[in-house]
Amino acid sequence: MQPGQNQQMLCAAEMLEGIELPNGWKVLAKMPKSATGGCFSIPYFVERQNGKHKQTAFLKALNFRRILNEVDITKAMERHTKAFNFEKETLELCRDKKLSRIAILIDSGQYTARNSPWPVAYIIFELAKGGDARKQLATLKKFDLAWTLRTLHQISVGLNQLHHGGIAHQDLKPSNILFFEAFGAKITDLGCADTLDKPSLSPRGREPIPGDPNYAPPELIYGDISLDWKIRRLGCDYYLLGNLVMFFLTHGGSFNAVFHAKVDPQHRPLNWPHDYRSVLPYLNNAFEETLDEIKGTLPTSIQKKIIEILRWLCHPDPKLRGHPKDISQLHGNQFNLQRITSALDLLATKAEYGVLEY
Amino acid sequence: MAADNENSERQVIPQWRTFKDALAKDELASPSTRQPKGIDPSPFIQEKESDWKANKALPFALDLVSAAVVFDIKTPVAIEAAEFLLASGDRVHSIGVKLAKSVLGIHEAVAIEKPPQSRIQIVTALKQQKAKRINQPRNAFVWTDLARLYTILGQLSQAQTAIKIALALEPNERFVIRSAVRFLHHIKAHDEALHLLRRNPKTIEDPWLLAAETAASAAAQTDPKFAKTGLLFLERHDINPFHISELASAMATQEMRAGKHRHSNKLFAQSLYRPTQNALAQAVWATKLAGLADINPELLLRAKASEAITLDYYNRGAWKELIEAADKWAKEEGFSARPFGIASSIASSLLEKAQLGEEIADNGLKINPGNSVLLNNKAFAQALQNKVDSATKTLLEVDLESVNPQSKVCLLATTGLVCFRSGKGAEGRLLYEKAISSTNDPVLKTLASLYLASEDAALGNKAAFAEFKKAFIAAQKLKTTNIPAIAEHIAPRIQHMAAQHGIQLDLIKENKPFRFEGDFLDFNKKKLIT
Repeated sequence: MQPGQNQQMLCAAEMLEGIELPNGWKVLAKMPKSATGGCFSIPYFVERQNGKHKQTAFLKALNFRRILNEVDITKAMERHTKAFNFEKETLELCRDKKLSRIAILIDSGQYTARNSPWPVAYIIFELAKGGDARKQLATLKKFDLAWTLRTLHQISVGLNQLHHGGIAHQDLKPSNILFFEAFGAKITDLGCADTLDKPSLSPRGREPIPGDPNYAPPELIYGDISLDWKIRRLGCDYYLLGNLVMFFLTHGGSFNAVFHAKVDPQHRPLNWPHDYRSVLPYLNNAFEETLDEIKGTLPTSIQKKIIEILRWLCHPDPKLRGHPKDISQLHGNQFNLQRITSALDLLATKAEYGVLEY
Repeated sequence: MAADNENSERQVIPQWRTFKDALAKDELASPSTRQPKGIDPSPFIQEKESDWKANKALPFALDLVSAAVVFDIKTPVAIEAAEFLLASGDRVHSIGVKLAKSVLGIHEAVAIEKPPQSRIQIVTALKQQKAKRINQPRNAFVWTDLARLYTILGQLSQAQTAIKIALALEPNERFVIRSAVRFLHHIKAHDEALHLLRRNPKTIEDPWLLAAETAASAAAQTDPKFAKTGLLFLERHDINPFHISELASAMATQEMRAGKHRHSNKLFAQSLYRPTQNALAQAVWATKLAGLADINPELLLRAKASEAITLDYYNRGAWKELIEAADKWAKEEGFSARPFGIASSIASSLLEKAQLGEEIADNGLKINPGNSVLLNNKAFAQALQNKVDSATKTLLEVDLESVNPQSKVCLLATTGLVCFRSGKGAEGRLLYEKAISSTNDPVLKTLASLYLASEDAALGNKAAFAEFKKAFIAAQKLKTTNIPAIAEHIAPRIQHMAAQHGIQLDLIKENKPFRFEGDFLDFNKKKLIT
């Protein structure tokens, strides 16, 4: 079979609607693709009778047909099955460690359809009724400072939980933030994650930019890959969190976009064939100008603190990311999110009590 | 006797611009023409496009627009999302509006920042820069710009501290190093400038720093350390010609000084393929010395190279125009004494405007207090106006220990002039003679001889007319300098005095107004400039 020959064929993963899986889950309808962010898996709504209640969830099935379309099938098969298993195992780890701000893995398994030559592997997550961050913001009628700051605090807590578990997310972006009724925000999609236990052995770990390049930190865009796991992986997460701060405060904008616009064209990645260190002074300057511009657009009551937080999270030099006290302490942990999480918590609490004006 | 230094050495010492100006002039770009491999963001953009199409809500639109800005991509769907954002009015955050405009190619009018010119403007700019320094304490460029403003105001110790901080923050960055080098030359710390460049690991990798090292070596009167590396850079084909313009120019100057005119002219030609303003100024300065043809003034005007334009007027004897151009140059390079030096010298020596010469020198001294060239020119202008007491006071301000031999000659001659104008002819003559005997430089010797004879003649000394004629003939041989012009400027007056004493000098038969003849060195026509 040649690549592309099976364009018209459907595989079992694409025909799960209406099927009852061996572990009691009934597959309902397909979900819109965007919510998952992956091209090699197909998302479905599923439900199961849980005592008197019906539990709804979402299922992610590995799409072999897309894999078969790849030029090198064996390599593609290896890559995607590895990624699928990695995500499943990492989620199991999160569940075992009771990481409350990470979308929970409810179940996993495989299903063999009657006429299908291969089984369909799947994982089942809890369903976020609020959708992802973009959808959630779209439903909000006006800017709510307290809600925004609390959400950022919740995401920071989630990321901190992952980091404490030795997991770097690396693809933290609006579509990977899910909203649950009453509980608030949770982080999902660990497909691009990397673990401290097995550094760079994760399926996407060897790629220079594991996640969405639109949000990626500048050092990765310029191809500067640190040998230090924390600087490379956690530094990336910090930057991505900074992007989310901007996303929630501007209802959709990314820090990267404002920053990129401030970098002189002669110093942009496509015009800079030298090492990252040599372009860094110009990026530092653009970074300061970015902060100046953002500062002018923020409510006065949070201006100072948010700029400080953005400086801690998004500094173009990954060695300078993190809270200054954590960086300067002799045995401090540069990538300890605790201080930043606390700062966001304090801001959120103040906003909830109406102390902050906007 | 006025001093302008333009007849002697000029090196391609880096020009000190503001960071923004250096960025705008592409001086901080990569010299390499290699292009790094880019990332293909299209799958991610497509995903955002389909999300936007499915949801048609503000956050989806702004998310797509942000991605389009990051990767400079303008797809029809991204444009549609940007239009949607702009049509949504107040519901969109101001940053979203800006990003949307950027995707649609709508650029807000930005007021062109003019460099601060008056003292009040400079002080205001300094105040703003100081505030910026507090907000951005780790930004080396802020410190460098601050040092520049301090230098313009003559606050050199503050400038030095700011430069040190900038160097500590970014020890290997081109703009910071070149600015520091320029500052060190300004405070005459030539050896320190050279040391800074030689110990820096980036110097051998960067043609801009190699150019500075070559020029700094000449200023410190030593051979450049990386001449071979520099030549290799000039032969490379993967380097943008603009980025090796100053290197070629600096090496051309070095070759010219060594008497290797053929190689030097070749290098000057290379420096003009895509010249920097500094390289243009150097080429104009070298035209007469190296036997190059004059550079087309249109080319200089197009490049807005105020120093080059000034030197071009100097070469062509367009004195009135020179005063205006030097004023512009002084405003651009506010801390340099050179534009004030050349303009005050020309105003007093060739335009009969001693008062203007005094004013210009005075303005220069506000920025460069104690500068011996400017003090000399001020005293010279004052003496020409017969303000001998003021001239004496001005000369007493000179710190003789820090004066270079060339300035010493000028100061001796100017003191002689003050003596002549205060009725002490014998003392004045002695001082002039001391000035003449203390130098081997034919330019200074001839100039001092011309002024001595002129002052002597004014006192009615008949022997002075013959001396003047001798000096006048000697001046005509110094074709590569402005001495013939000065001689011809003084000659009619001396000739008239000689006639009153019944002596026929026959120096100038008719007034020859300046007219440039010959071909311009128009590299543009030769398709050397792209």
